Amino acid sequence: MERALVVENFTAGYGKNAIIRNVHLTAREGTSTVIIGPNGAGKSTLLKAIFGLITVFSGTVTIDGQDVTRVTADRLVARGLAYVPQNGNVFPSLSIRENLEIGGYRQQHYPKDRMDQVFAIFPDLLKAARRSAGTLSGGQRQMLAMGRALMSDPSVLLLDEPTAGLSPSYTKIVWHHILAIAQTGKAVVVVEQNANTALSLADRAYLLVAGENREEGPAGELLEREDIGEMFLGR
Amino acid sequence: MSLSMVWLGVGFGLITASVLALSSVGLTLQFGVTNFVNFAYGEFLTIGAYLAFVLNMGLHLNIWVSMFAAGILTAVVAWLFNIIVIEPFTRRKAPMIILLVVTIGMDLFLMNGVQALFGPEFKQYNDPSGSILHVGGLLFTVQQLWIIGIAAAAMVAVHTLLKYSKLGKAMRAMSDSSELALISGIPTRRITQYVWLLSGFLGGLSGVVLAINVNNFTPALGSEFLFVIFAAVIMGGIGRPYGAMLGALIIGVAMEVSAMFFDSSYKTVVAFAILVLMLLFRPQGILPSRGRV
Ligand SMILES: Nc1ncnc2c1ncn2[C@@H]1O[C@H](COP(=O)(O)OP(=O)(O)O)[C@@H](O)[C@H]1O
Ligand SMILES: [Mg+2]
Repeated sequence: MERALVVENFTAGYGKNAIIRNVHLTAREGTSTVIIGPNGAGKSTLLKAIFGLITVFSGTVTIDGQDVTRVTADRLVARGLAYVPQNGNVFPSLSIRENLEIGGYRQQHYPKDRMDQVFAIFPDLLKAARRSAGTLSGGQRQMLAMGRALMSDPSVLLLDEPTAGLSPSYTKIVWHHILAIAQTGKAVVVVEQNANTALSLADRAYLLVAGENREEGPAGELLEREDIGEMFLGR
Repeated sequence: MSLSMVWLGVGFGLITASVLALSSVGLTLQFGVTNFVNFAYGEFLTIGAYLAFVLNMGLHLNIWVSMFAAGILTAVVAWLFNIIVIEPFTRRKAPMIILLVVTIGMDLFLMNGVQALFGPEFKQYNDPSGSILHVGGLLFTVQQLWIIGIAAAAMVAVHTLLKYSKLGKAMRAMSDSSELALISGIPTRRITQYVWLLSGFLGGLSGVVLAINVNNFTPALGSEFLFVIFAAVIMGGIGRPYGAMLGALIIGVAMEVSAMFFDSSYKTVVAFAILVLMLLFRPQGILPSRGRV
């Protein structure tokens, strides 16, 4: 399995303030990688920094072997990276179809068959294609946000807490999609609050604490660890 | 107080609404994408009017040709305005209040620049207003019908752009969230530049038809009209182009109908009163909110 995303010695933050320090992360093609950690650990900050939205002080990011450190966000999309932020991840006044079209913006023409593929993954979206995204429920919105990100056919997909605020049944559906997307050969990186579910489903896991790497390994192994369970999984 | 006078006011109102629709849509589109109010926008109207004056009186071009050329030149002025004046601040993520102060300063600077070049006295185009036509019981000069037609065509063009083109959809996406637009791969800086071009073009056109409509004009033309534009923009919900079209229609007709019954110098006051009432009771505009369109 190729390493699709490699982050090394990564230090980044807001303004002059470093929030994450010397972080490393690897995500392989066709796998799901989950990042867990307490609130304020810097999980969202790590994703934003990978995506070129905040200041990177040092370190590198490579996608499929190419260095993309400090490439601006809009160009990263063309380099095979896609990102779904936790909040404000759809365009509320645009229709579902238009949201997807925007996701395919970097393609020369609106990729019609790409959209058909996304609609095939999320059939609920097709039924409501003309509705504005602002009218969708939280779970549907999350589907649309993932669909929008998939429109650029990324090799690496970053998702920030895609199940936050969703019912347990929707959480299961979202994870079903995450695993299915990984199976199509993409590297999916998921930040999750809901660590127990995430660790039982994902392939690999990283535990981030206070802006630094604390643990990593196969997700199932982290789930079994007594110490991690006590401190971070509420057991 | 007769019905026929109201009807007459509606006729004039349609003309004012046309002038207003062009400028309101131009201002609100730029606001939607960039999220700050350009207080120098009135000067785009003034610059458009004086550029057309040069073309019409200096080069003896037909007034409508002059108008179109002035619109394009004003678009370039607005584009440069963004690159030279605004971008240095947005690059540093300057707070909105700074941008407001900068545009207010630029308003004065540009107005005085126009006055230094052309003098403070009244100017007038060479534009025969043409014969008078009856349309649905209303009287219009051919010239006034041109104004209405140009505004209507521009609104259809803006609608087509926003609804069907990749560029227009990118503008609407940025209007919802420029960060998510950037994340989605939209080159937001470039789209912003296109918005300034469009905003300047519509402002320039509006300035020329405003100058035609009021007959003679001074360097204060645009800045005096700015609060009328604000009234229409806020009535439609700031940042919403379709709202601005509706706001222009309502404000334009309200102003001219009121001018039938009161001294016509009060019609700006009417627009201003509506503006204040809107800000007090419904600052989000009259349309139901559903995100911005
Ligand atoms: N926009 C911001 N500006 C400054 N500091 C921020 C910003 N967003 C988050 N932080 C800080 O960065 C730290 C990590 O936050 P975050 O990455 O959101 O944590 P997590 O996603 O792990 O809960 C927190 O201390 C938070 O206060
Ligand atoms: Mg977070």
